[in-house]
Amino acid sequence: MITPRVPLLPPLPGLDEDLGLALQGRGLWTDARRRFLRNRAAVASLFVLGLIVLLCVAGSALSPNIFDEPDFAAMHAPPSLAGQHWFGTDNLGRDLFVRTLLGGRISLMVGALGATVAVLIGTLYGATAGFVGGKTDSVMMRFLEILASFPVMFLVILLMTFFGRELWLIFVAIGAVSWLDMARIVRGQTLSLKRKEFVEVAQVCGVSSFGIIRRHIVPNALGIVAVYATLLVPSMILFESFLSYLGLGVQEPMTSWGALLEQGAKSLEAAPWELAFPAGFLVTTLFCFNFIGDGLRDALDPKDR
Amino acid sequence: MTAFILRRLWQMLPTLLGVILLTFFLFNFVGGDPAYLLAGKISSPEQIANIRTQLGIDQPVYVQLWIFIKQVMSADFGVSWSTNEQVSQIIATRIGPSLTVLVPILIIETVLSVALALGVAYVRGSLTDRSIMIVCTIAMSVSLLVYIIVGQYALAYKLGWFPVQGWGESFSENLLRFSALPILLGVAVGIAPNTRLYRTFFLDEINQDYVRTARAKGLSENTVMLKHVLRNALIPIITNLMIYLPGLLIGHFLIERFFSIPGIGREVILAVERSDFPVIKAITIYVAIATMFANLLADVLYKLVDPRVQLK
Repeated sequence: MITPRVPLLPPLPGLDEDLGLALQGRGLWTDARRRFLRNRAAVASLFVLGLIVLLCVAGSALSPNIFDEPDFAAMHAPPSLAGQHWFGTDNLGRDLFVRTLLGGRISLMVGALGATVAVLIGTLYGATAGFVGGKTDSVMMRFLEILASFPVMFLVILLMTFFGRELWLIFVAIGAVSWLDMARIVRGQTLSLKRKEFVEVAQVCGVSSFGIIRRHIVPNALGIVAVYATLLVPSMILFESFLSYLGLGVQEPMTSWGALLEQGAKSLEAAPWELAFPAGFLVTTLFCFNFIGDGLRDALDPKDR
Repeated sequence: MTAFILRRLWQMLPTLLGVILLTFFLFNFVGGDPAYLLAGKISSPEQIANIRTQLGIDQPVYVQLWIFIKQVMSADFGVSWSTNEQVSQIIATRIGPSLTVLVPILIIETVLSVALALGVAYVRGSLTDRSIMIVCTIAMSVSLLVYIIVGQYALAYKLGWFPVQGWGESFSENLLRFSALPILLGVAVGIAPNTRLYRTFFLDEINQDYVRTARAKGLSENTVMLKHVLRNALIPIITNLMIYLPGLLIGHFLIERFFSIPGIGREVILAVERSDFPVIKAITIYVAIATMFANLLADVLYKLVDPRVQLK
């Protein structure tokens, strides 16, 4: 009824453009971006996280050292900005700056991969189960229940035992178990979306089930998926650090933050920096992800929380 | 209620069967030939054949599966491959130490985080609320590993307030002396994420109409918060606790490992290092069963907390 072109009240001078803008309407994502950008903690975290990622990806080029090359002249060398080893060296004289960044690369990759797999498999699985419903839903959910009866950590440890301790297996194993909760969440969303009018309209228009899932269900559930995926990354990184700590994860001379913590703990008395740098990076990264996740949740799911 | 529990127990059977099949499949087809693992590096074909007969893996698959099902049903998983101890004996002796640490962690952590969350939810939006939430987010980002490493080093080794590690004979000594630091660290790790989560549950309830009604009819704030809000928020809290419970047994194996507590978690690590399949299989099945019972317990608790819940 309201025609945007003809304002009911005489427009206040200087407010013309503002009014026109307001009446154009904003999508969920535009709105969410505004709310997210207003959250200073989240934006700052995003910035810091960007720096860490950049440093992990490209930072090793800054240092002349190589991650698995021992410097026998400097074992357990303390950190020094003037010298060659900015973060010091470990018990074999390997440069900790380079190793911390390498570990970060592995840890971040594990986190990103776990989240990607969770988003892809979990979203499709959950959306299909919820949308198709009936027998298919029961069978799919029963399968999920069986997988979920195994504690996640345990399943991964089993896989590690069977297949040996190779790097790519950590990725597969973590990916394989990370999607379970995501599937549940998306299924719940789908069940409520399914009864909305726009889905009915699409059905009447003859859109196939897969088309509806892809074009209508998944995009609408994407908000909660984004929030959950962001919060999944830190838990995957933590998970990898536990595995590496137990000696089940990344094997020498490759490393990850968890593996570095393990070594750092051993020489805590003599060389506290060996724990401090990887721990500092790990904690800062997790902290950023948690804050970004909070910011996203506030932006996409604006309830009083 | 009884009928409901019986029906749920009945429904557990297919899930249990699924778990058994999955475990069986993992160990028999994915796990490789245990005879080679057992025989070690130097082995003749006769030795391998001999071990295969002993383990019964030269029999057809369905016979092996049937043996495994019988093992699960009779709770007798044979003997450990590395120590020749009865698996049931191993589990029975390891469960005590695990529970000595886990039960206090669970109780203290839940009580503290519920109380804290209720408090900050009540003053939501205030400076207190926001600062506690930020502290929780920071605390949540510190890995359990860092807590344990630093806690053990600073509190036990440097300051000498607690024993660095060890396990004694008597229950009271174990609980009060050896478990004190593990419990403290376990609580410190769990309290931050739980407080954040429970706070959102409480906030969901605080905004409901019945809270306004309760205030309007002049109930004291204590009654509103403790009788109305707390009780209604218990349902998601119970769900969270039950999800968390079975994982706790395994999840805290880092603690058990660091403090040399002879519990289930440490046993899992040992079994993995030695490729001790009977022990791993038994623990897998037990943990899965524990998960299913935790889910049932959650449903029963829902009914006790909220009479409106329909048990179907």
